[in-house]
Amino acid sequence: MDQSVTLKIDGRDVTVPAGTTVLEAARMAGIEIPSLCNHARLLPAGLCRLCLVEIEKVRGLQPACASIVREGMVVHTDTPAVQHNRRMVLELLCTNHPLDCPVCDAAGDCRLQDYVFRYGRTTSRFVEEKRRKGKAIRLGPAVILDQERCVLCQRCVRFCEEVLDDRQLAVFQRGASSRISTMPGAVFDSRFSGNVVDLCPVGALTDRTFRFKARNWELTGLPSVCALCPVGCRMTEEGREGRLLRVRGREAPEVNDGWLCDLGRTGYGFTEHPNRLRHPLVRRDGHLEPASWDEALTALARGFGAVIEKAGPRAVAVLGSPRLTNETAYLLTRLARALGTGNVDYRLGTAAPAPAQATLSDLRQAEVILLFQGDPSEEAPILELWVKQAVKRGGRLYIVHPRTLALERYATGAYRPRPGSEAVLIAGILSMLEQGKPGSLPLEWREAVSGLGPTQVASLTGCDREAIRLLAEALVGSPRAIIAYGAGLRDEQTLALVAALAKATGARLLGWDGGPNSRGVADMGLLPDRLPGRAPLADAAATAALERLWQAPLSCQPGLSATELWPEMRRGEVRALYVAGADPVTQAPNPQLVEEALAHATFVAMQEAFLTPTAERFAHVVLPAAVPGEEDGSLTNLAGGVGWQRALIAPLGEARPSWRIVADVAKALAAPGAWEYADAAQVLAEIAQAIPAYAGVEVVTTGGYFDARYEYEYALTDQPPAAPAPARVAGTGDLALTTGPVLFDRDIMARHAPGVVGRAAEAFAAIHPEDAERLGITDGAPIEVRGLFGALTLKARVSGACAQGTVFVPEELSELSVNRLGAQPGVVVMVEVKPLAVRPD
Amino acid sequence: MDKFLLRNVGVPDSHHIEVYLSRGGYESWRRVLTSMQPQAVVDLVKSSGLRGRGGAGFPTGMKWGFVPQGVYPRYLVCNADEGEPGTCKDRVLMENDPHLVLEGIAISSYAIEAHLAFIYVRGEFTLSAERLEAAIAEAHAHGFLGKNILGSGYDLDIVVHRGAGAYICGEETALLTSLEGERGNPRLKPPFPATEGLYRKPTVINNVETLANVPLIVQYGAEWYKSMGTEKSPGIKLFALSGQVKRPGVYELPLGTPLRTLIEEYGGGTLENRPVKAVIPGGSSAPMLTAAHLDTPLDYESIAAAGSMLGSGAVIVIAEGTCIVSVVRRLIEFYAHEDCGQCIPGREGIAWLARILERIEAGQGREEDLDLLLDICDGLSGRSLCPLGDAVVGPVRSSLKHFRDDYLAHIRTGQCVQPVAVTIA
Repeated sequence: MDQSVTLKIDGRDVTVPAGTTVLEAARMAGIEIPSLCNHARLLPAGLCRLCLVEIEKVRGLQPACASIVREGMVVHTDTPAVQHNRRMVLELLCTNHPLDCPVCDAAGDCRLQDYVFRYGRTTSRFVEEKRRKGKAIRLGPAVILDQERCVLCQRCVRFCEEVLDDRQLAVFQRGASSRISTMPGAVFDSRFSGNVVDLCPVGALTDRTFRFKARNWELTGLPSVCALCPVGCRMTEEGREGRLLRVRGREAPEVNDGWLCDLGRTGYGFTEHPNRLRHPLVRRDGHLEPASWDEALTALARGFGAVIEKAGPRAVAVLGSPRLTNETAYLLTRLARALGTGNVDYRLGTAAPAPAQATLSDLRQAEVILLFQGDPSEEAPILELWVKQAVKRGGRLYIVHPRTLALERYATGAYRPRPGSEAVLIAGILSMLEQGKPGSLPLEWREAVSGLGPTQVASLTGCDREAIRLLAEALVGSPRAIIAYGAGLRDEQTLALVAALAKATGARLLGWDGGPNSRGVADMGLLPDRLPGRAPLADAAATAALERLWQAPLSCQPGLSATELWPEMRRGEVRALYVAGADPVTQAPNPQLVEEALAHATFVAMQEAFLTPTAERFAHVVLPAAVPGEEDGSLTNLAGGVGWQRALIAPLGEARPSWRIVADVAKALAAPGAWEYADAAQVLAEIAQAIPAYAGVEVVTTGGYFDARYEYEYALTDQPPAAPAPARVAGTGDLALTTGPVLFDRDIMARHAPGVVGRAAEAFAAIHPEDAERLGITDGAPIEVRGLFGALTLKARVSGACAQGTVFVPEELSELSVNRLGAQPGVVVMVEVKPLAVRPD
Repeated sequence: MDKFLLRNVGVPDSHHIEVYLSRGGYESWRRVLTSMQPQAVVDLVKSSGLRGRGGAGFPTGMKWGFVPQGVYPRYLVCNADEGEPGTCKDRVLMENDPHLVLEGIAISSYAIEAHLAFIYVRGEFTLSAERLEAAIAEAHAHGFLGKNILGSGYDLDIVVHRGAGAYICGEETALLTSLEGERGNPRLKPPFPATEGLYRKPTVINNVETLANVPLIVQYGAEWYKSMGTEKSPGIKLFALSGQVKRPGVYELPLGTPLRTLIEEYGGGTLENRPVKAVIPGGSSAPMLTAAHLDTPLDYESIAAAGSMLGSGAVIVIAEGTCIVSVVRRLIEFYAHEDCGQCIPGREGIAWLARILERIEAGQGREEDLDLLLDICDGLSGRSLCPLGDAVVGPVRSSLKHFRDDYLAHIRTGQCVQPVAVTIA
């Protein structure tokens, strides 16, 4: 209903949409009605009574926050009674408030302070002794509570209830003794806990990493975008005197709607980590030693120059990372192609993203969601909230995942196919659809799935046949269905099937992997077989346009992927490697091969913020790169939305923005074309010219949102799919390895943030209780997990969330090379798990 | 006069169904089921003029009429969270005549087309809850509750829910929140319970005594009911008389009976025959009256005209020699203790009132404190989230109006000049 209602507020006619509250209507008319408990993203509560106004023909003062406008309503916000009420409520609040503004984090940005100045009494009539309550209570890892400052607006409690649907905070006791707390003995450890600090209208809830660091009026802030997961939440960076001190959520209905997860909120502490690289390093006599930029770039030019001279440009490879900004990835692509090599990639055990077809707003309003091999809570946290919201609105959730997810209690159906049979499940649904409505699949797909009858699919996957049918029905039956695939989906075969399922059902795709900017980096062409904008190499028009733009002939030969690269390097075919933001020794699926290959390389140069194991052992030159917060750049989120990440502070020491390092390297290598850019925005302007779907993207530099969704063929049209069968099995153990990101221990950057350290569980492996009993493993005991390339010592977590016959190990763990276990796309790795003797002491 | 509401009280084993049946019990229920449409019951209660006995005095039939057409399920909730200081009338009914209460609930549920009713019993009323539960079992066994009651096709179940000791749960929205399993916090109105109450469904909430009147009205008719009491306050009422009287207790009288009659004839006059100093005529939140008001008839209009309210009909008598500051301080401490803590006026305002009163009683008061007390009352009255704010201001404002000298004596002399500093509970 777009009906509007006209009412009179303080003598002014105001027209607002029906259903608006009086408080909101007044705000729209520029009339402030003070309120402490009201918040635009929470339901009206009517608790603080500060917003009481007079409404003609209604007896007594009414709460503006909870009164809905009516046609012809006459509201007065400034009568003696209203003024008396405001004065009184504020005086009452101050009776037991500590009035410690001089040491309060909120001072200068405090509703109570502002309102007392604006509407309150100048003196208090309270002569009693103030009531004492708890101070500096650590509610959880991120949030500290001062119960004396608390005005009990319950925004934090309501956030837990309404947004998280997880009542970790509540009001305890009653009357004047009321106080906010966790349940007795419980910890406020929600992944979203920090939002309550943003919501707190006073200084009762403070951020553990920020408190006492700065006064509000000393802070400068910039609107930015979080670079730590594929959601790309809109946030504000705040700091002073060259330090990034705080990150807060920013209103953005199309992305995070103001909420942030705790990784984003506390993860930027890495900017100040003592292990940051401050100078270029050059290897001399086997040791990396500090050098000037000139020395480092000269050494780099010499190293690459020698290889190109001897073995040609195709002996050079470029390895990027999904952590790079679009600008850095774009320039890396350009550098590689301009040098004449197609050996360029960023994927270490993941698949390039399929087209993003849904927005996050679509997800919030979806009728049917199939969550396929993704765990939003660990991989893209805000999506957990949006999935819950969709379900709350009546949407149905179906989950296909090897483990029981936190979201499973919202699911209509949950499927746990045997490890490696996920593709069979999808193919089975496709086959079912084709049976129900012949011709719904392209011919080659029809043949590929025709052999998969329901009985066979059920027996191969272990999933109930009828349940599979219900899932198929749900997907077909709704015009607002979304297939959301996550970081657990790593192989291109399965992804192609998922894309085909979306096409066949009319559901829209939304997908992510563990990398924050995978979609952007792939769009920028950091792929051996694609140009920027996903154009095939054979696209002559696209090639010609790029050659004009880049003023250089392009190498359009397909190059080596990051999987194919290592054997070729070991054989001496590829001799020089440039790595930006990746750590193949700990990230690539086959670390043994990678180490052998790197040992054979003639020259390895890296740009990175920290000294990674790869850099430490194999790099000849290491260039210190800026981190998020120190550099401008665009990021494309999982839904194809582009945002602009801002540099609030200067790069540490001699570190340079990543995109600039690539340009500097290009100039040092005398790569063809012009490499002078004043700033990252200029690179973005060029991206807008290079990639049709990004035309106009410059708007993001002023804080806007740019929708860069576009359609492209997702693989496999050139290679008709084989009939899906359960995945290949490797390894000798008897438990199938499953792996995936965990939120607080997933990335070299965030791992160096003090606010994140300690939030991840101790390096663990989860196994099913029955497997644990069989193997003699108890919860919390040390165990050894032996995989293809080595063994890890981990702490056992015995949990029914893990399917029987599987073991889950987080894909990245601090200080541990989990890739030694050998997890790789499309292969089921069987690992050996055994208890370790505990020394009796 | 004849007893109606209390007719079975005092009869041996009056809580058992056999006794209730032998004295004509469940005949009204049978008559309703066999010969009346729900709307006819609503109309009957409307025409009887029955008003809510919980405190607000709202016409019962009209309240039933607020339930929106065509929205089901609907619930009837019997408010048995009798916790207002001085009030103990519902307890007498529940303990001694639980079947009368059940019969009233059954007829009223039928009238509003509810098939599930709840009795929210004050947690401390163990015996009431036990007797109600036993009575429900008996009524089921006799076919007065359950499926297809007396072959009528009408189904009804009644569930007893015990409160956990919070006075505020007597407030109807807090009661609903508590009944839903949440902490018993009052909630915003609108939505009103009649349209969106228990589990967000239309809900009628009636007091125990209100419901107990319904079988009588069915039995004797609306005209009979209106023949008692006054024109605007018809019928009979239970008065819980307490305080400094010789015979405190629960008395059934027609509305409009003079206050003096209740105190002197039924209550036997004050202790030691001291003159009446103050009377709280309708539960502890009703403004105090004085000896000058003793001839006021006990009906809704007359008591309101005298500056107070009839409320639940709990009459608290305070005799000369009693310190009013002490009485009010004790009352406000009660309200401060029972406040839910959600809204700022309630949470901070009542607590501040209590502390000022404590200070005055202790001889540390200042004359400006009296204006401050009144100003805080202005901040509470009509502004708190629920009606508790209005309940609190009654004793404070009225005592400052009628007994300002008691306050001034404390402030000026630094001590209490009255011989009796009463603790009332």
